[in-house]
Amino acid sequence: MNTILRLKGVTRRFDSFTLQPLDLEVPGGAIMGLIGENGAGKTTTLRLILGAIHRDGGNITVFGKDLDAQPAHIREEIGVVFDECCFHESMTPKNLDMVFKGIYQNWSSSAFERYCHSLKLPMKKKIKDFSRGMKMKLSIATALAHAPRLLLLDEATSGLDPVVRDDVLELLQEFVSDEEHSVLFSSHITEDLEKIADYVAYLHRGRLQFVRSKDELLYEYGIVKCGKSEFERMDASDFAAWRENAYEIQALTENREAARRKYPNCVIDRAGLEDIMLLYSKGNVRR
Amino acid sequence: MKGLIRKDLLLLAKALKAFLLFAVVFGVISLSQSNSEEVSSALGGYFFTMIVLIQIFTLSADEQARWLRMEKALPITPYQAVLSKYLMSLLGIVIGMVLFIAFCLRDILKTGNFLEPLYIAAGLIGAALLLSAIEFPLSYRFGSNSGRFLFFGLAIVVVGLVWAAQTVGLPLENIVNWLVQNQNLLIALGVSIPVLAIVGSYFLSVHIYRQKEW
Repeated sequence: MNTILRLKGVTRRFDSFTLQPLDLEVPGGAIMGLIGENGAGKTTTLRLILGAIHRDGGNITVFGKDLDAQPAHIREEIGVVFDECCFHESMTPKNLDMVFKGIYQNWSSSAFERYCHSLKLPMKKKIKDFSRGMKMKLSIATALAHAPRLLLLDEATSGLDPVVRDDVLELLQEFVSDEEHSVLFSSHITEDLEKIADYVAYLHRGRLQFVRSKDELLYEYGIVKCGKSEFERMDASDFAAWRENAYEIQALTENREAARRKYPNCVIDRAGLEDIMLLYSKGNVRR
Repeated sequence: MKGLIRKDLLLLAKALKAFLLFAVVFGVISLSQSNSEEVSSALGGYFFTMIVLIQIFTLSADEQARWLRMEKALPITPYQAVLSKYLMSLLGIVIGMVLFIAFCLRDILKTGNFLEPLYIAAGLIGAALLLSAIEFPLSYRFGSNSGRFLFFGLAIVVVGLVWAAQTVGLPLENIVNWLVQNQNLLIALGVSIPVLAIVGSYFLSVHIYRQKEW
């Protein structure tokens, strides 16, 4: 399988936050979800990939090419959707078509019109009259109309109603239907990632906790629920993270079946992405 | 880069229409005036102000839309991104000066004196270039609003320095008179200073743009 995007030891220090050396690979034909709480480093990672901020260390290769060597050339094949629309409100989609035609070599006006049509976006209406959902759909149509091979999305579905979110997710699934295209999708909405992601990378306080295939996470991970005294008798190394609440202890196991065999008296549920994220971010994490 | 210039032209479409409309109204009024020197100065002042406002307008519009985020993700180099703004500014200067000359045509045809409006136009072009050369790096570094205030602050300082120089008796008028008598030197300085300033300013703006993060 070809690797579309590779980050090796990428770091960035800010006054109040540091992105620890980050190794990440996005394979071709895959959607990778980037999850983590606010300020975990998701947007910083995307900004580093775009070269929008300087990095303090490490290197980034996109389509096998060093990002530093030809950043503008590489960006020709990257589509980006931010968490908010960055187009001038006085413009119309028709205007954007004229603008981007003069920027991207591979820009296709017919593809742009097709995307706008399928997403029910009027070509001659000013962006200031668009709803948030329409603006996000316009951002996605723009990101796709120059035939990129890599799509970066930063919280692109937040604030959208379920119908629009579903439209967007369908477009993403179509986009990665061959091995030449990939998506790196940062999102708080773990439900969206459970639907479409092939891999999930979890960032916590600037450190990558894991990168796993989504199926592996959902089918193998589990939440062990038990009392405090019972938990104290268990082997803590069996759990990636655990958290105590008013009634019980919830502990995250990376091997649900093994835990079921070892602790037959405990309740063991499947772990969703949100459960995993919550346990890692709010609980005690295994060293 | 073509796309960036198109974007600015689209953003300016309304403002340019208003600019041209006012220019026509101003031009028609000026035709009824008898003092051609005053009319030339007023027209020159009008175009100069419009050119300045136009270049501020596109930078402010970009900031308001948070366009930098998008621009930094586009397949363009910092050189191209900054150059598009400078080219727009030059375009504004050229259009303004063509209109200025056009409105001075009546007097040129009446008096046969075409040198005076040309000198005024050349002076205005030089001043507009100098202004752009200062204003762009300030706007890139501090944002268009703060950049504008800093620019006006700088202008006040310069005016203050000239006033102080006159107050303490520095022979500024003699220098001006001497320059007017040495026209070749005046032309050489009048061309080279604005050109060098705008080229230097461009590279400084590119440097600032490179450092900009969102």
